[in-house]
Amino acid sequence: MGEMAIMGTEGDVKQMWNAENPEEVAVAKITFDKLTKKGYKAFLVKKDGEKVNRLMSLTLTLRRL
Amino acid sequence: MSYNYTTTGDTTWRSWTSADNSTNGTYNYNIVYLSTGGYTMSDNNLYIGAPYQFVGEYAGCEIITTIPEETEEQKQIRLVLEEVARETEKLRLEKQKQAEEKALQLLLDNLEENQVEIFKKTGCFVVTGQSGKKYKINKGRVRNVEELREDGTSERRMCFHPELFVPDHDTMLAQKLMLELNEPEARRIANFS
Repeated sequence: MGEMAIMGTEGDVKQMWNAENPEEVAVAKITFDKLTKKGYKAFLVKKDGEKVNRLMSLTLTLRRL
Repeated sequence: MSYNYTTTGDTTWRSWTSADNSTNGTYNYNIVYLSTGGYTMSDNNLYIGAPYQFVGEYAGCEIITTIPEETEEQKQIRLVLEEVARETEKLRLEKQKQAEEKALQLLLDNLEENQVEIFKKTGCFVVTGQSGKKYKINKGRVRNVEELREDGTSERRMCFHPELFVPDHDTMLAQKLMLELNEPEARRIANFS
């Protein structure tokens, strides 16, 4: 399962998708693209907190700093 | 003793040199004559039990309005509105608490083991930027990041945070990710002090 934690004023909202399911992936991508277009920054991290990289497309997002 | 005052609608313009409300709800004020519309009254029929509210000042004189007595219907409406306000505030606080709990959990999920340990003890943690420089992130939103010298002492403070008013622990996570994964941009947008 993929998971996107979108930060907001009421805490983060999680959006999950099954990587095997093209429809769920497409919905996640739409959300991601919309947020990054708004200026959110995205970072890919592993569950144990290990950093991977800054994402230009998809995953953990931050509002533009 | 006599009093002078003038009224416009429900508003009474007056000033006084002394006040005494100790006589069974009779309010005795020395009132200064204010305009040609004023007239004189004896203290026997002035302000007996009359509730007045101070609303401001004009030309050095205090402005008061008479507060009409609350009807039963008005009282019921007021009580309902007060109850709604209390409930709204309660909900707001609950939401805020939930948001803070979520943010704390998200931060803990994204801290490395050694950072969690320090954070639990001190409420702050240290991150290493891509350049190798270390930063201490304290709880907060504004000027809560310290750029550290090699000996671990604070060199100066940095101010950069999400545009949205996210909970503090979300802000701390955002700052951590920026410093660890996009340090040059974090430094470019930050204010240093």
